[in-house]
Amino acid sequence: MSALLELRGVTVRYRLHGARQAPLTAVDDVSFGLDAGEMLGLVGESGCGKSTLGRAILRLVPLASGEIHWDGDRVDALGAGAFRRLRSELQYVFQDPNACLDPRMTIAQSVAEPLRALMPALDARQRTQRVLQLLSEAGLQAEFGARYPHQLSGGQLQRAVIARALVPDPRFVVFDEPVSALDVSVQGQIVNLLAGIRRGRGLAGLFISHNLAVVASLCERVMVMFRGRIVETATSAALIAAPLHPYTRALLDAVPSLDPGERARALRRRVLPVADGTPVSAAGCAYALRCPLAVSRCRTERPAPVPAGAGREVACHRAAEWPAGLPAGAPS
Amino acid sequence: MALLEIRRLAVDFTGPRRVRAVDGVDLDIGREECVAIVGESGSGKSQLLLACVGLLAANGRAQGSVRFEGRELLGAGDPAAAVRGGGIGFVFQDAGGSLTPHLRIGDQLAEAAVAVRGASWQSARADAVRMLERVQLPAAAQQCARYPHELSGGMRQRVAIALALMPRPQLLFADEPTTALDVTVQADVVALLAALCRDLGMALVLVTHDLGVVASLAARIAVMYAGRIVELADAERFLRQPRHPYGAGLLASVPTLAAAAGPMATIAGAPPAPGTAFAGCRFEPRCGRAEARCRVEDPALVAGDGGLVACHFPLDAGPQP
Repeated sequence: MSALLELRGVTVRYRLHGARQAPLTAVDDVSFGLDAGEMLGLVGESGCGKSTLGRAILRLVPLASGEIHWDGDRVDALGAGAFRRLRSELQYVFQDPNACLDPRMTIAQSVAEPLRALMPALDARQRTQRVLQLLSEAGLQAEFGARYPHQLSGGQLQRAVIARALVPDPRFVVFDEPVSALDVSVQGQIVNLLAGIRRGRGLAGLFISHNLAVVASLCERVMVMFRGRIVETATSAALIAAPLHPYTRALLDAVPSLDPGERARALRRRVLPVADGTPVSAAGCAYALRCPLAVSRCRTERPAPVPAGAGREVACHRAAEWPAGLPAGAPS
Repeated sequence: MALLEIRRLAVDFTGPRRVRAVDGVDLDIGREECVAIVGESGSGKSQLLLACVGLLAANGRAQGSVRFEGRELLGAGDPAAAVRGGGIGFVFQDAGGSLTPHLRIGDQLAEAAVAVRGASWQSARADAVRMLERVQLPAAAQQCARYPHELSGGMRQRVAIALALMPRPQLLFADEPTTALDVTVQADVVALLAALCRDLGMALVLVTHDLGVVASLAARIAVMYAGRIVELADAERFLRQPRHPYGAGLLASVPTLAAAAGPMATIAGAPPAPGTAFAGCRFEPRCGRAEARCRVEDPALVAGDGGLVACHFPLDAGPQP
């Protein structure tokens, strides 16, 4: 069965200020497939290119090279008119819900706005009904429709943004850090809401986050990204139980533990110096500069993603040396 | 005598309607002690810290008493100015905001030592390099010549910490110091703060909504809800067995790898809007354990089982260690 969404060698470059500077490769030769109804996780630190990758799928940034296939169409090669028809199937939810809603419009007006453009046949009464139905699907009572964004909490705003993204009945949504700006106590509400919406609608999506624990609760499969490259892809369970890439191990070690018994270990944790931003040689592994397990080959030869068991890929020269995964607390 | 003694502290904001952000807080911070204040946005935790150092917004007013080494910080004439950026340092969430964009890092750090301690510029600049080394900034001497925009978010937060430490404070207030940072960097900054407190003999008050951040760092944890402290306990005891239903909810909602698969734990509902009037317990509308008494009677913060809790029906203390 062919994937619903397929990326092949997608590369995005940004031109930097100053004509003499080389362009920055934000997404570097990324390939993956996503099945209908699948919610795929994407984790990595800020600046690693995860948002750029999400935006590239919706053509919000141009590709330097590569192909994006959506349900038989080649998204990146479509004409503007053809892409516009496709656009209602693909939606995007941004991190900061405050920036996504017009402060002078009520929540109901904001949700109704795309409805006017995409379903012009609806009359006012049908439109109101549809808005209420979407708000309720996102867990907002009807009364919130009459309120303005500043009258809602962060979690309620994100629900409104999610309701609006559902207006055209999309088949695929990029959720770009939808809970990172929210209180920890509210994050779970939104993640569980998304899990319910996904089940109810059979929605496919790319869920971007820097927190592996959050991603794992929503996605069966996760991609780990570092400096524009996918370094490991695996099921959430396999990734947590037995990470193969040293960077995945570092991400896992960074998730705080609440076990009082582990407090002592955490306090003794070595303070790592920050990465100094040295440009990575295109020839080597992107993680080699920070990797305590790097050998000379890592600096000169770029590791390609290779299969490592069922549905699993890792891009690390040494991964075969630890087939059972890197243990917690290992140097990473 | 505790290093910092907060008594019956209340913070009001005037405007279209009066809002009480902090409502009668008592808290002692001992020398070299690390205390975490946790709670959702709007619980009043940041305003509590700002009130202590006289940094409330113009329409804010603090009542009660805050004593630092016995000296009153509240009252007319801004008495807190004597300790602000001196005996008490402050690290904010947005590190970029505490750095001046047009001054080099080294000069900003040195200025703090010159202004507060009266150090010479030459010794202050040398001090700045040592402090940047202390916060583990790579190539500290070279960084002094750079401007804030040339640094990454994690590096800027380290510089902001170094800046707060330049006057050698005895107490550091850190307001969500890691929220704007990546997870890998968050863990590093938390470990750094712990190491600094140990090495410099400094007390630390850490404000955050994320218990995961403080679990490894704090000796005591104060849980704030709607302007009040609802639970105060030793960190180990709290993490093992929280007694207030809100504290338990906060703890359960921290995403952990152990509970990664399946739905996430949450606290139902949302915090009360600012300015809400309360009759009974403030958490009652969201509480799964609430009974009729909770709606009418405001629970007092009372001692029990190695901590304080404000709840008519607290969770069991569990077996004592």
